[in-house]
Amino acid sequence: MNKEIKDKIDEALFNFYLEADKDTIKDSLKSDIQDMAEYEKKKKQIIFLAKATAKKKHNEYLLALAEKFEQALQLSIEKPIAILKQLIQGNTSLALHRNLDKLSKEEIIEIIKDKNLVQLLEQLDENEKKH
Amino acid sequence: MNLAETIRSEDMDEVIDRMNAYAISRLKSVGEKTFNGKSPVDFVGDIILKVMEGTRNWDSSACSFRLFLFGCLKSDISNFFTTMKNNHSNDFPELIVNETLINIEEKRKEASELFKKAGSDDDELTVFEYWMDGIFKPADIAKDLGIDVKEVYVIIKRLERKREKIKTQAITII
Repeated sequence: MNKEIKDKIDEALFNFYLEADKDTIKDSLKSDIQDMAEYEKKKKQIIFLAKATAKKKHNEYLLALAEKFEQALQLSIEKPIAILKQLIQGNTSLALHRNLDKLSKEEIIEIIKDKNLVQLLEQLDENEKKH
Repeated sequence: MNLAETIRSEDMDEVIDRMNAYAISRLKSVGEKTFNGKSPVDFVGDIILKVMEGTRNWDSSACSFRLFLFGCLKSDISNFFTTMKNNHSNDFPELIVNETLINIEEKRKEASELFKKAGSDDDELTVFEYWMDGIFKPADIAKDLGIDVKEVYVIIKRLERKREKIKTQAITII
């Protein structure tokens, strides 16, 4: 039947749950959840696990990237060096570095840690594919 | 901001409440309480973890973290419903109405009539008409009507309950 009408109702309710104020959401949950204590406990577990996973994943990316940049510097590969130079420009304390090949892994991590790591990794992978 | 920073700065407690309330609402629309035995909060937790692990990649997405999580939830629920479609009707009672109707306006009137029969008042029917016109955001509806958005929230909750009622009627009739 009416897929179009059903889809519109679903879209409206999607927006409602995305935007409604906290109290409305809480009230809605109170009427639907029988064991609130158990629910709150599960929520805490999810948040803990999510934060730990995000941190672990971030560290993995950071290390993988630092190693790729370190390798690129040693091999004087043009594109990664250009990326690194660009990143350093925004960092006044590191901009003084004249010899990029002298950068340690820790310093590379310092340069890239606040950047979009997934995007950087994709850029490097793309460059590797071309060569 | 990267994912690890984003999750630290977001009020995840509130985000999970919202996602869970939405998941419960979708389950109710098909007369279910769980996702094949999995509670809505566990279902939501699985999605959040998928995003954290990078299975669902927010970094390459242009939308906000919150909207991204909601989008993943919507998509996973739809996938779940698709797989259970053979056992459950995910449809509206208009199933019993003439399937050959092509005119969307007619269908819209019929749907509105069903809400009316289920006890929807003028406020609810007005909000329903906004939805059918493609205006979905409660804030936009409130602005257009010149009322507080909280009033719209209350109307939507009533409308949502009527939808469940209509669904129950449909199952009974079918």
